[in-house]
Amino acid sequence: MSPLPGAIPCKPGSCTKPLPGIVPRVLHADLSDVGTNEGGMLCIEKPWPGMLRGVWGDDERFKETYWKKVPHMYLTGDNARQDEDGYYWIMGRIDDVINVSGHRLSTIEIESALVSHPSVAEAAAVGRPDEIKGQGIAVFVTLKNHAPDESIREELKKHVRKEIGALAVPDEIRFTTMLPKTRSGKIMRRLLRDIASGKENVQDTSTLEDFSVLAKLRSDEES
Amino acid sequence: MATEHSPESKAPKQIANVMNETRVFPPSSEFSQTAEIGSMDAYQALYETSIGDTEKFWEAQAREHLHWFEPFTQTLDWQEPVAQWFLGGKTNVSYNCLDAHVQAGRGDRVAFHWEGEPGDTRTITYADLTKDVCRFAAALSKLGIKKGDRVSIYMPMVPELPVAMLACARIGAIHSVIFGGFSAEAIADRNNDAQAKLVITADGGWRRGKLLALKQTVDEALAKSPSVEHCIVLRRAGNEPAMQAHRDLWWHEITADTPDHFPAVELDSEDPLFILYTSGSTGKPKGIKHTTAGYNLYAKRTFEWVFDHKPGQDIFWCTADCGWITGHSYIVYGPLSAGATQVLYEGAPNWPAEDRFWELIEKYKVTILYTAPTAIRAFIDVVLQQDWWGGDVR
Repeated sequence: MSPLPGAIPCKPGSCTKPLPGIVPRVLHADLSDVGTNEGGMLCIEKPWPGMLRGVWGDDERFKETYWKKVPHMYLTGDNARQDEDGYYWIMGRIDDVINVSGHRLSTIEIESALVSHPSVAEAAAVGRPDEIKGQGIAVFVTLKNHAPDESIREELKKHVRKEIGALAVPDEIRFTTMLPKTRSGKIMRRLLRDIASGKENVQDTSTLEDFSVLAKLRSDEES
Repeated sequence: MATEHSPESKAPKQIANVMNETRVFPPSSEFSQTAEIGSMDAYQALYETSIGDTEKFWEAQAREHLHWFEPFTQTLDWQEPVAQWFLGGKTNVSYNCLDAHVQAGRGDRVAFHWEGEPGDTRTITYADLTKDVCRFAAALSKLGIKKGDRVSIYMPMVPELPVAMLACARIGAIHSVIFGGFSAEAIADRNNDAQAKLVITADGGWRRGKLLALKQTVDEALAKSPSVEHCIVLRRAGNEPAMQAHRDLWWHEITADTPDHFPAVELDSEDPLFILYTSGSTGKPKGIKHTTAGYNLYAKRTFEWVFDHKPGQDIFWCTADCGWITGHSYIVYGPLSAGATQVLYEGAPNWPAEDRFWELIEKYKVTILYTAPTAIRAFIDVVLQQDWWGGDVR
């Protein structure tokens, strides 16, 4: 899916419309079609010439990853919604969804809300186990023009409440010098999930945390 | 689209919450007038045709946009989850990217304006690139690399990286490009999963003024890669790595006496073109497989549609590394089959200064920039401070 520069009006943040030959479908977990502006699993109905042909030496893994969860459709692994104009919006990877008290929240949505605050440079949201809510929300934030203190922590919670709703207010906000990223520039979500759930030990407990050493250790595995 | 340069558009430095975005930016009518797909109606018509009779649509696209040594007889055989496109046809991706242009009289067109991080430059035409690929393909062939063999490529962003990919494609060898930042462990995992026979690398590359000793990393990987018989080393950084007799070969030595003409092997549409490894949840590398004709067609047409590329006019720059799928499709196979003129850059975007990207855009008069939001966010302040808008870039 992509805008075409001479034809399709852009909405910032939307991948707009499907390219020729691509037939997208957005489905609930029970495989029923979602309604307008409802998020769900993005699938592709028909084969197209540029479709991947397999996983080298592992036909089972190819079927398992892309063809099993939704019968007769290619599972992209992305969540998406379609708006009232038929525009598609990618809402993050399927496994980036946080399930808080039965509500499915997209990490991208929470991150977008955070970076819309003038003091936030970058943000990453991950789920962490929560006995009551199923999953809690932990966010990692790099700040600009602001010290990492309680006042900004409270302000950011208020800001997310305003932008998305009380549901999406992070349970924990951690400030970091920089977000750990793979060499291709993707945020290392598994590492952040492990840090948030306490599975990965972080010795540094200062107000501004540095995860660069952990990131380096795990960069191959998460790329 | 760099059509609105009003003072207002310079003001908002803050990035809005894009999930609640309601603004709509239509294409300028001036731009739409010359575009291949110039209106929403034109898009709708094309889209409806493409999904109405999908096979007929792609059959016509494939006949028009690829060179066929032998025409295909069946458009699609769909045995879920295995799709086979353009069966019975014979083609070669390297032919579509190179020979097709030279034979049409476009050999003098620049394929790559290359710039190394230290500032060294090379200008490579389609005719030059074809010769380089032929010489290297001939060398690979002489070394015993043949159709179906797997070849790992671990190189910096120098012109020899696309040359190595295209040379593999020319003889039907399956390349597996490993991004130049990966560790020895990751290279060995990928070599072993693919049972690679050959690794192509360089002595070193430059990143943020620092020398990356690529060959040294490959040496560590090769100690754990029993399938690899040879390692070809490009001299890039001049850091004189250790060379193991019989196993290691210098690129410039094995291509010293190979011919400028080396015919592309006629391949079946579904012969594998490349494997590209991506991470999986289990940690074992997952080698995504793409094949010849369908991938080539889709990379070419999506490149032309999405960027509305005008051959011979536009200067295209995709800032990804060839080591990712974006680089495979939108530096190598898409743009080259479309006859694009591109900028290829070796180093980091903010070295030696924050405005390196913008300096290159200006220098090479880039008209189409394809980059990641992260890069835009990182540089927006620099660009705003310098009151710099990049001329005609979009």
